[in-house]
Amino acid sequence: MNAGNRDAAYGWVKEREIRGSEVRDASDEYALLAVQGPTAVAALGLPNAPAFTHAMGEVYGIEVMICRTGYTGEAGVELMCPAEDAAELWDAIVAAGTTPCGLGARDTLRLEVCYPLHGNDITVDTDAISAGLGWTCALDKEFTGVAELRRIKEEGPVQRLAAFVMDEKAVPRQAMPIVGGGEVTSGTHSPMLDVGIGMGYVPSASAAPGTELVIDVRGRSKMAHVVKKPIYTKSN
Amino acid sequence: MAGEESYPEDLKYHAEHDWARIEGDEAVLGITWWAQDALGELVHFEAPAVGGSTVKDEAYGEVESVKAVSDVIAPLSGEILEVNEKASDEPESINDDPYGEGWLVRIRLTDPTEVNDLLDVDAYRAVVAEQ
Repeated sequence: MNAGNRDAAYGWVKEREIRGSEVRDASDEYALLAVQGPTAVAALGLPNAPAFTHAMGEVYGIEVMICRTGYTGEAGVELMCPAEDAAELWDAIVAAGTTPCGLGARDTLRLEVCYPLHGNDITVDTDAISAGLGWTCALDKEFTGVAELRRIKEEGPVQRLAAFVMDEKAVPRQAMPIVGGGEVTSGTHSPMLDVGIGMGYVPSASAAPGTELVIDVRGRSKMAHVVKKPIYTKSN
Repeated sequence: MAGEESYPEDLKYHAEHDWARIEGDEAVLGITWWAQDALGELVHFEAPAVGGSTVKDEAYGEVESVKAVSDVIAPLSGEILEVNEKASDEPESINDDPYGEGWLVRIRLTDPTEVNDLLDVDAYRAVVAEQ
């Protein structure tokens, strides 16, 4: 389970443990290294493979699960291995010419391509339809919360998660109010566009691309406008 | 990106990591090498308005990197005569040259005796050493 949401995710599954089964949090036994970027797959000497597939394999002699996934909007892989092999795998990958980077860099990448971050853009208080994640929900099937999702879809969400770009020099940040309703759920300075970008829930009437927004940046009103997601693609 | 750590001897310093270059009854203000290094690559300088004022020990602007935003503390009180447009347009110039092209504002001092409260380079280096 993923770092920040580990306790919540484990608790949720554990509560629903089916009789005769045992839910155990094995997170500490594994490590995940994300190697991302247009040359990531080649740098690791791996063949190309379809996105969202995974397979067991060897990277620098270490057995790993090679997942064709990531949260950067770039090509690349996520490598999962037993925790005790992680340091050796790390050293081998860095020696291959990759550049280590931290969560700040990951956050600008995922926000440029509008991947929502749990705890920011989606929380236990938000729903998939308002977040623009209805495509992940098969509403013709039965699952936890489906009735509420069907209702929101039918009535239309009151708020929508909109992406925006600043028209004035300013860096929007999480929890800054959006004048007229809503607040910024993620914000940063886009290195690719060299401008402040963000996402936030706004009244549905204000969610259309081109709509002007005013962000309250520490007491100063700064103009922004809604854009179609993703905020950045390599072609623009 | 930023050059080598340096603290020019001809400047006066404030413990909040700001510098002042005194020029008669005026002063040029900026942030120190340590401050820009702590913040990382700057992406925004929220500049004050020309004609406004700075108050010693109080914020007169903000500098922001991808990860953090920080108030810029005024080492001296004064009337803001000029704002460095380059620092606004290209905030990375504050990283590249914090005492030169990356200066922030020029002020006319309203209380020149405040200069006596500022740190010389050795005293400021001692502040940095404790960080």
